[in-house]
Amino acid sequence: MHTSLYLKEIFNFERSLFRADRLDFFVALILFATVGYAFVNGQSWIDKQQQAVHAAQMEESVRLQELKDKLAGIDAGSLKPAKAYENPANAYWVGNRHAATYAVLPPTAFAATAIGQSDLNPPYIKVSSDNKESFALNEEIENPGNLLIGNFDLAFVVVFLLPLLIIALSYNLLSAEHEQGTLAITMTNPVPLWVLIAGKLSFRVVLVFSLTASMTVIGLLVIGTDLSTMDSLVRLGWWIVLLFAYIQFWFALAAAVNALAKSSAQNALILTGLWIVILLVLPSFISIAVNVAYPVPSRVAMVGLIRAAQTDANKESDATVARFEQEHPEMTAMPLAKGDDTAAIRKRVFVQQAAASRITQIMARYDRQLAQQQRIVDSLRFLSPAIVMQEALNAVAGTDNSRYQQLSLQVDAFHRVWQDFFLPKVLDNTPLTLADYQNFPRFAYAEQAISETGMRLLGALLGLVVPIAVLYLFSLRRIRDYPVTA
Amino acid sequence: MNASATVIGTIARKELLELLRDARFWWTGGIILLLMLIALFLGWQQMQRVDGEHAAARAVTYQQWLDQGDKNPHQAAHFGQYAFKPVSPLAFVDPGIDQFVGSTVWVEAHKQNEFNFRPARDATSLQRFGELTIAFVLQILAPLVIVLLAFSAFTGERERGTLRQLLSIGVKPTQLLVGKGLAIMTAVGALLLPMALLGFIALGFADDQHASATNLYLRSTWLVVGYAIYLTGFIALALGASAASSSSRKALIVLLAFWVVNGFIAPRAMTDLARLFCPTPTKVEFQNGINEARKATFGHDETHPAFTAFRDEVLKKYNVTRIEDLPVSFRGLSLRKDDENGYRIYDEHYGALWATYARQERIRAIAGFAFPLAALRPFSMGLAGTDTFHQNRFATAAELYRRQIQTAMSEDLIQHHKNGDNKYVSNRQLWEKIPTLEHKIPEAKTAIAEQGLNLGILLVWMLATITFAVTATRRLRPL
Repeated sequence: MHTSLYLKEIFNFERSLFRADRLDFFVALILFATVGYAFVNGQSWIDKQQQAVHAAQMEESVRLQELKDKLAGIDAGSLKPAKAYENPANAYWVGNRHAATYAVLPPTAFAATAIGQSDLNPPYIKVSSDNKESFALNEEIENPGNLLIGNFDLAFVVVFLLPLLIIALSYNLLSAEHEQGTLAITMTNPVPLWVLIAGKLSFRVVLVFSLTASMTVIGLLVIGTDLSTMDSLVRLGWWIVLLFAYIQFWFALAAAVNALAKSSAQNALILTGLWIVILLVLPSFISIAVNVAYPVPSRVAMVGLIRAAQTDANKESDATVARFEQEHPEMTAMPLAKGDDTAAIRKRVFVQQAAASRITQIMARYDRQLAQQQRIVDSLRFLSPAIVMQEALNAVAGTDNSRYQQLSLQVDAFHRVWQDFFLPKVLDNTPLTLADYQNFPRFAYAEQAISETGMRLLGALLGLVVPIAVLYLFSLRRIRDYPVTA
Repeated sequence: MNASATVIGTIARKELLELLRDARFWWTGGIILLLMLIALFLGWQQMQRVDGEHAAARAVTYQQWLDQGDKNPHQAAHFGQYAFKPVSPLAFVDPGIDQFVGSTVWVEAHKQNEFNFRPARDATSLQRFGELTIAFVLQILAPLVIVLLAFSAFTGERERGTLRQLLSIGVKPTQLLVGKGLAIMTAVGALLLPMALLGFIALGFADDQHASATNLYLRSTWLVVGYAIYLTGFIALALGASAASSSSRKALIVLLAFWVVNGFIAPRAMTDLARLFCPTPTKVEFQNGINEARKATFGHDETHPAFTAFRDEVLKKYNVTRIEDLPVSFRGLSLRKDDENGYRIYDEHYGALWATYARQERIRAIAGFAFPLAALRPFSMGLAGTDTFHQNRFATAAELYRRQIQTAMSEDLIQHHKNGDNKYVSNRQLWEKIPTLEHKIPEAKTAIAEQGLNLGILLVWMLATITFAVTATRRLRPL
């Protein structure tokens, strides 16, 4: 009858207890320190990344300006390039080297919250008219020791540390009362045990959730996130919902362990053990299973295959050049930008094109295996709510592997546009003009709407809600047999 | 003295018996053992597979080098080879940075390249949760088992009322400490030493292509020493915390908090601090630095002032006025000169980059005085041959190999190429003069020298925990 009244009573009573112990203050302090540090750190990472992007773009514009100046000098007759390689009108060398352009992946508004895979995947790819293998897999410089250890970002605080805080707050939810003998006294009130647990839990959930959520919002505002756009609001919404579910999961787990009626020390150990299993053991086992099911072929072998493709193409190229010149007599007859180099450069293009399809095939095999792996991970992640949460937070922050795959696809398409701009000019032997320089293709990342990630995130949410329900139901059943007296 | 030893012996025997009768010990011990066996099996398999792949790739790239056909030696230098990082035979214990460092570098004319293909980039995001390795079990899980076995060592006696009895019959608190410590050490040792033995036996089957057996056994012995110090420190810490706490619950919470900070918070926080105080340059910055420096060298640019200066110098040296009159190939000479200019630039820039990494490692290790994993992890990777220092040493070997190729190709031009001859080619005979790239893991003493500071930090930490345990036990309150 008076369940809700009791619930409120217990809730308030817990609040007073926490206040008396200054426990709420300590929880707030710990959260403030970790969330604050995570934001400082996440933002400094984004700053560094954007600095790198900026430096790259500066480097590119300086490079382009030098080329344009040189070309203007040649047009004015004051400059004479010594070699085709140095000729800013030579479409081959300009497209292949000198004008190579950075395809940049802009960070999302939430990028600072989860560094995710963004430390392994550079935010820019230097695209040229050369084949894909020459640029697609280049790495950013970083101390591998730093990559191994990982980053202290908000996602780390939420996925790894928050559960520990929750365990510390709730491992002795019932056991302490039992051990102190207060449980028997409490139970002399006409209130069922589950209401007691529910009251204690709901206070803790509210405390941890409201503090974490509000600090997240404050942190976002402090680092200057624009929360007025629809995109950021949707991201924020997902963050908050996922956060709430994840917090609930760990409290539900603590409740279930408390319902087993063991001692406080045992509870603490069981919960720590579960933390290890969920956060460390399960991910590494799933990782192993995935690698056994769909092993990614070795990249070191790829190097040899690509080289073989290039060598073969090189051997066939003389015939290709001859055939081309036979079929296109009009092109060989055209006036040349730099006479002595045309045949050699044409040969380069043919070699490149001949190798391209084989190289694309070789590289596609890796993408296929990786996609297969990701698919298994997508289904096996439900075994560990921590994986579900980490992947979901990466997706919200736009630092997950799928966004980098999206970048890779868009870069592939852009690469074709770039080649279509330069290579016909190389074969036609058409010199580049200053007007061409204004019309070089430019890459702009077409952002996937966050709603397109919606299905994945919904799956993640379900992956948290189901275990929560199971754990709460289990606790409800078990506490019926809870020994109230020692 | 003798009587004291008897007392300690009795306590240790009693404690050990109690431990062995405790289901907690068998449960956690069993799980640890199982995980270690799985980690050993997986680590061994992974190491064998990767090493096999690298060996095959090495053979392929060398064959491609030999089969490249007749061409100008400098063109051959441009063709170059790929160098593949050898896998340390101890990677099955601690794979260290292997997943996060490029495995391959293109050895080509004119430039020292970066390593490409970090395996972690080809993995799912699960990689970031960490790998199940022997090192992980020993660094993270074993301390937890110790905490579990020791947190109630003194508080439990007090809570049961047996502490008062013990002290009343004249047992000194320190005797109790040593006895309990010995018992836990024996139990943990009985759990882990067979694993170490298994590892030693497995090493006998390791391929000795990259390192001599003595080297590997020395390294493994030091690994055992390092982990023994780490775990002994944890035993002392757990016993000390138990002696200093008023209840088992408090001791457990404090120890678990320490375990979390040591294993998860301190490493990340220190990594970020290291990056903050000593930022890694971005690739563009690094490349720009090299490109700027290279502007002073002539490369293939024959209008470069440095080029004309070099030409005049050579002409003067041979006392001729025209390149055609030189007795040696000017092209060969200029390539060699330009390469030599480049070497200095690369040495300087890569040296600076690696010095940054080393500074970051030092900053990270400082935390080891309080949280020993910060010192143990680099020690473990260093001895296993899977840390940044070993990686850079291989990068240096690959660079020297590159220079060997460059020099041989330029020398061939210098000696055999006639000035003005644009059709000069060399053949397989010259390519065969370049041996394959063999890289040995350096001797154990090199790794020890590099990790000496970390070992020192670990020792200091262990002594501090022992002091803490002794002080805390002396102040033990029976009630």
